[in-house]
Amino acid sequence: MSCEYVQERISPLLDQRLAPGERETVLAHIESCRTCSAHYESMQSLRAALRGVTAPPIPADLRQKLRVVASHEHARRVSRLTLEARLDHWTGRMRLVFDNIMRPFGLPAASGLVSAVLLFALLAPSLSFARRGGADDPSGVATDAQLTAVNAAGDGPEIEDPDSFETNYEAVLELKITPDGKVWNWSVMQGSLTSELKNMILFSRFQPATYFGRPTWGRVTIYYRHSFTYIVRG
Amino acid sequence: MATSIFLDLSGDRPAENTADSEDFRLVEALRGGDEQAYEELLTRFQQPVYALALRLLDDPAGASDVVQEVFLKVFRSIARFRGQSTLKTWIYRITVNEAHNARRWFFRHRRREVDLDSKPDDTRDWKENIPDESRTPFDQAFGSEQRLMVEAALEKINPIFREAVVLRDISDLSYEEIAEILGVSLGTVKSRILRGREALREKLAGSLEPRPALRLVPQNGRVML
Repeated sequence: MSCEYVQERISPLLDQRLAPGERETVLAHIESCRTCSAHYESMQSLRAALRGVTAPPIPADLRQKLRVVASHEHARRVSRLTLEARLDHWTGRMRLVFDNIMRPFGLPAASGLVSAVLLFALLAPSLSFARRGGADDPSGVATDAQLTAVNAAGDGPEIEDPDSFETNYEAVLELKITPDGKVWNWSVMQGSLTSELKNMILFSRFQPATYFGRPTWGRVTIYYRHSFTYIVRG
Repeated sequence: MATSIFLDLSGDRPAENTADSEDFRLVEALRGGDEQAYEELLTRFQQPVYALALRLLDDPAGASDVVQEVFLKVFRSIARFRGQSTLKTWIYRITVNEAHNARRWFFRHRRREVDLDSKPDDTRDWKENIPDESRTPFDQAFGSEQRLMVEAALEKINPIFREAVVLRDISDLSYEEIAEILGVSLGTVKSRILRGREALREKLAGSLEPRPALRLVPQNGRVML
């Protein structure tokens, strides 16, 4: 039995992996051979040294990370156990995705709306709307000032269809009417202010413009043509 | 030339390599989503898996990554565990495979990386901080030194042989378990362990002498080694 053969079997011998007969033979050779005996002893020392190597301590942060991994995987497993759990899981996911998409828009949109309402509420009282052209106001919340009589006798004006208006008027007046139905001011837009027109302004009666049923300021445009034709535009 | 017959004669390890009732109970609890089972699995295996990964890689950061990856795979594929091996063997096999992958990746990518987190005070290797339970300062010094030498020698030998030696002598697994973990035959396991130990013996030549005894000689009061 050669030393090389024995030395190859020292490792399995130490691990008790040799058959009993072979084990006795190898041990006998080791007893009688100084080289193989030294080899055996150094292999024994090596094995003892390896077995004496202590386990390195697991880092605290790794311990923590593993707990996080376990927690995630547990939640994942539980969410897939039943159909109901799966549905809950997917509903939650969809809600989260929707939330994540909408959250960046939600705050700016809400604050923009609130700002617009507040701004309007602040500005609305200071806004005044002069009423003109009530005929094209379909809501009926505003009415124009109207000329109801053109002289002391109470004769009404002649109203023409606006589409058939002619342009050869002798004068065009614009009157500003108070909420009381009186003429507050006038301006001559075309022609000249004759005495006849002065009389007309003096004796005419007006129905004031209204806004939400309350009288308000209004304007009346009068197109004057000889033969006492008054064409009135509100 | 006589033929070697491999027998498990140690008697301190179970001959069977299949999952026992305890493994099945834990696996069933994991499949059922029992939170305690996740905790129990970590408690049982995180330390040995980390130790094995560290011995195979010799890189604490890499070992930490491997351990996380191992447990992630264990948790996700526990449903596929059929009990044809023990839970320990199964987890160790995953660890060895992950360590192989990490080593390959390391040699491709991370060799040239510089760890910016390391401070001058942190340059000591973890091996220098291993708690030592020796009784005397002499024992402590001798034991620590020998362990450091063994660890250093382990790093220098072929990784293929190293993993066989680590699994056998440090993780204390049987030849059959090692064969299953590495996916090789018993003969290959025997050969790798033999060659690994021989390589280590050569690296540690002269430093594996029997430990000297500390003796007090009362006549002259001198301490002799």
